[in-house]
Amino acid sequence: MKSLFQKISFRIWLPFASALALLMILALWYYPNQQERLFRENKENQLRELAKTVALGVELSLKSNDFEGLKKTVDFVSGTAEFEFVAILVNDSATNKKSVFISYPETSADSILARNEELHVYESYPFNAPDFKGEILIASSKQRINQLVSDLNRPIYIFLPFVLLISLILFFALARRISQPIEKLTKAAKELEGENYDVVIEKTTQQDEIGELRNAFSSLKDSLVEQRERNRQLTLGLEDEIKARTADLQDAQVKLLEAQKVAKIGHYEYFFKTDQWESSNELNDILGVVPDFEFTLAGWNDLVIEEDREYMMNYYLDLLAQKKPFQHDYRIKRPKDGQIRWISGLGQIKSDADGSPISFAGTMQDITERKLAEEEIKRLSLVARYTSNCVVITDVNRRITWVNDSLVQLSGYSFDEIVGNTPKMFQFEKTDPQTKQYIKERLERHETVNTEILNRGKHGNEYWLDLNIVPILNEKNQLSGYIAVEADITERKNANEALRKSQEQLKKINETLEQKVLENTKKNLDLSKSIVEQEKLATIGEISAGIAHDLNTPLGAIKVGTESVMFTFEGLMQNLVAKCTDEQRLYALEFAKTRKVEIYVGGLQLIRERKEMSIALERLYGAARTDLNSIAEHLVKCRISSDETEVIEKILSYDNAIDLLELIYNVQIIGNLLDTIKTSVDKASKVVKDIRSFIKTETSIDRSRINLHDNIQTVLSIFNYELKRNVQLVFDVDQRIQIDGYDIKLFQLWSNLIKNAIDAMDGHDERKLVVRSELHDRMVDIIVENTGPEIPHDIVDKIFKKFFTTKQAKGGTGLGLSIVKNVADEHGAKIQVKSANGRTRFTITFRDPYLM
Amino acid sequence: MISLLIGVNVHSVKAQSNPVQVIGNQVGFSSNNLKEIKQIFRGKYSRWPDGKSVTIVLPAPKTNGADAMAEFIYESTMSAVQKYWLSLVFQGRASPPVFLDDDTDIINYIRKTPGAIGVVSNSAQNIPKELLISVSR
Repeated sequence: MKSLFQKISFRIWLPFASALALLMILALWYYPNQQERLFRENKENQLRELAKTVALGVELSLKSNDFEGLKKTVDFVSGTAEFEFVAILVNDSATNKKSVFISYPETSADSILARNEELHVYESYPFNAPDFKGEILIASSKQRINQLVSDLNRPIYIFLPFVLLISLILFFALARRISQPIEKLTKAAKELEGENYDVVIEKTTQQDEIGELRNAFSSLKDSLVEQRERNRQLTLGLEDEIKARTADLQDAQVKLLEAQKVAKIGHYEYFFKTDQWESSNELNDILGVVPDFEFTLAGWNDLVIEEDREYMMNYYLDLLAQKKPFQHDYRIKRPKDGQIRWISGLGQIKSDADGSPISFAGTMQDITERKLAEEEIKRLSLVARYTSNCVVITDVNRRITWVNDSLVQLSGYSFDEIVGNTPKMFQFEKTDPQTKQYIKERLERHETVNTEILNRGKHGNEYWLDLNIVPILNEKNQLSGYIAVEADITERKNANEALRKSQEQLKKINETLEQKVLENTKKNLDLSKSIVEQEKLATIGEISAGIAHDLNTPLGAIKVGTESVMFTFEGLMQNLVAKCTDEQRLYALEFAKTRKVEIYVGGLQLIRERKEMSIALERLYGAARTDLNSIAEHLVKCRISSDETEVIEKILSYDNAIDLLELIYNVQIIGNLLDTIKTSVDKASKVVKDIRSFIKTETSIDRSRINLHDNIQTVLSIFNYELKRNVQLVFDVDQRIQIDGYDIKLFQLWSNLIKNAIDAMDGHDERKLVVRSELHDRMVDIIVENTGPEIPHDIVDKIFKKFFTTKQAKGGTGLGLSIVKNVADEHGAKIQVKSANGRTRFTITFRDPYLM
Repeated sequence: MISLLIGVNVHSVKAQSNPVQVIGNQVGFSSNNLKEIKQIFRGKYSRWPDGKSVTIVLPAPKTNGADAMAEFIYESTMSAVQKYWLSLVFQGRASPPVFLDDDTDIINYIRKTPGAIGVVSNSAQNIPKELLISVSR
């Protein structure tokens, strides 16, 4: 029962229904009673009014003789439902008693006068007519009135329960209408509570509170779903963030390990309680521990070299007692290989929450290299400080940052007076301006300086220095300053001056001789220039055979081609042209334009094609023609295939088809020969052009943009004959590379390198020449590598010197590589030579190439 | 009633020196005896033999001929006549008479009302002959 009530939403509808039922019960009690009371009062009033009306009717009938009105009045009174009787009572003046004059309907006077109140309700009203006074008595039946009351209340007794029932039903329906959405919403809320967000809560257009509640709940659910999605996204974002952070952490861990490895640093933790320490793999590698190494305090102390062992143990114990951090460099002897290594140890005590020491943790770094470098620097510093030469160190702006004692003594300035100034502080009016300019230019190009200069000290003392300045480049090849080593050559200079003066005295004596010396010098210079030219000519001479071959081949082809054309043309003019019509000649010319014959086609291919053509012709013409084999042969010669039916039918439509095919073939042959001649002429032109480029005597004054691939290829073309004949060439220079330079001079550079390579490989079994490029860091390397004999180490430094040659027997001038060096210098390029493993490699490095 | 209508002779009441004259319009007879006339005026009949309603027309109290009429017809006073008619009408036993103030009104009313029968004074003038009813004793 309880659940039944709960199902019908007991709490919602019952209070309303109870209130309504109570109201209805009250209405059932109050309303009929009130109605009866009012009805009875009304009836009494009505009865009184009727009596009054009848009395008035009597008065009027007697006063005005209006008996018709009386009749109507009596009819009206007697027409009421509860009417019992009406009577006219008159007073008997003698007895002073009332008597019944007349009654309607006729009723006994006794019963009228007796007034039975239980049965009737009575009302009377007096009248006063002339000669006639009395009163009107009118009686109504109580029984009928009660019946009327009952009839009056009956609908109420029926209607109100009916209304109550209908109301209860309506309340119940209304309650269901209210409770059902609430039940649904409650169910949906429980679903949402159970994280089932698929539950559907549709919005409604109802404008009542339930509709608003439903819409609000739907919005709440949407908001929940949205919030959940946001939470999910946030969670996913957090997960991604965690993943990313984890990956970063792992990455950082890997980098840390790598950094530790690179920095040769490892960590450890020594636990006091167990007398054991744990260490990273990197630290184990640094310490060179062996498998049976004991990771104890004693084990660590045993690692320390013997002479420091006691000191380091005391150091450790002292700082432990004072609770100070460990920070000390010391040497160990690695058990693994016995190497002595420098270790930089760091560490400190770790305590628990109570402050009791539990472990000692820190890092150890292998600083052997640094220590060695520091010792080296220390030694070099000592050298710099105490050398008799002056040493000056400047920053990139040439401001002096350090000088040694020798310069202080020589210049007379104190260290503090010098530092912060530039070396110009030592220069004065006698210092050679050209020397200053030379130094300036070289330093601007970050080049070494080696010169002599006259300086002046603080106290006016003049002194000559043999000056060597070296730019200091860091690991990124960037300028970080300069270091100058200056030797005091004043005495030597003074001696030279004395000598010069003596020589001046001799000068006059030897004037003629000196003139001759000058003349000879000039001759030597001319000779030198001549030798350079001779070098070039010698190169030309040496490659002339190849050039001749390169020219001879196309010229020979041109000659043969020309003769063949003449021969073929002659045959054409004598026979074939005359046998063919103008239309056929035109057809032959047009056909030959589009179809080239292949002169060298033959053998099995020709036989197979001829057979296929014969089968095709047999299919087309059958026994209609007897010359099909001959025609097939001609068609195949003219490179007409068996599936070109239209062409074949066109040609065979002529009676002199064979003559036409001969004409076509000869025209094709002439076309081929002319192509060959043109190709040969182009080849010869290129050879001549390349030679002209190479032997141009005029010097290019203006630098221009040079494509290195084309420049080198021109030189290779010059050496084409020899390369083809003797050498396996690998040419792989990037076609995009360009530099600013002088093309003729670069020709000289490449030709000398290539010529030397070819000469060097002469007589070797493996003759391979590689010319290739490598781009890196705004620079390009051109590598010329050959498989000739290696250059002995003792002469590698000399090969670029003028007149140094290893080919005296072959007439070498010793200028080739000197020219290479000069040309490279003019282009700001560097040359490196590496000769090993049967390979000799020249690397010319150009800066700032362009990539087009 | 039918027997009354058959064989009734018309006599002039005036000729016999009745205190009042009886007149009627299409009442089915022109003469009748006094007893019957009294019965008619006391409301015994509500309809004439031909179906017309009986309308009694009397002189109003205190008018010329009223008392004479009460005396002659009802053998009473005019006040008693009123009470008589009051009791009849009260009980619905008869249609009430028409009381008019003078003879001319009574004559005109009867002339215009078929079935009407009334009483006028002996001094009444210009009574149409066809209305006159002779009353024999």
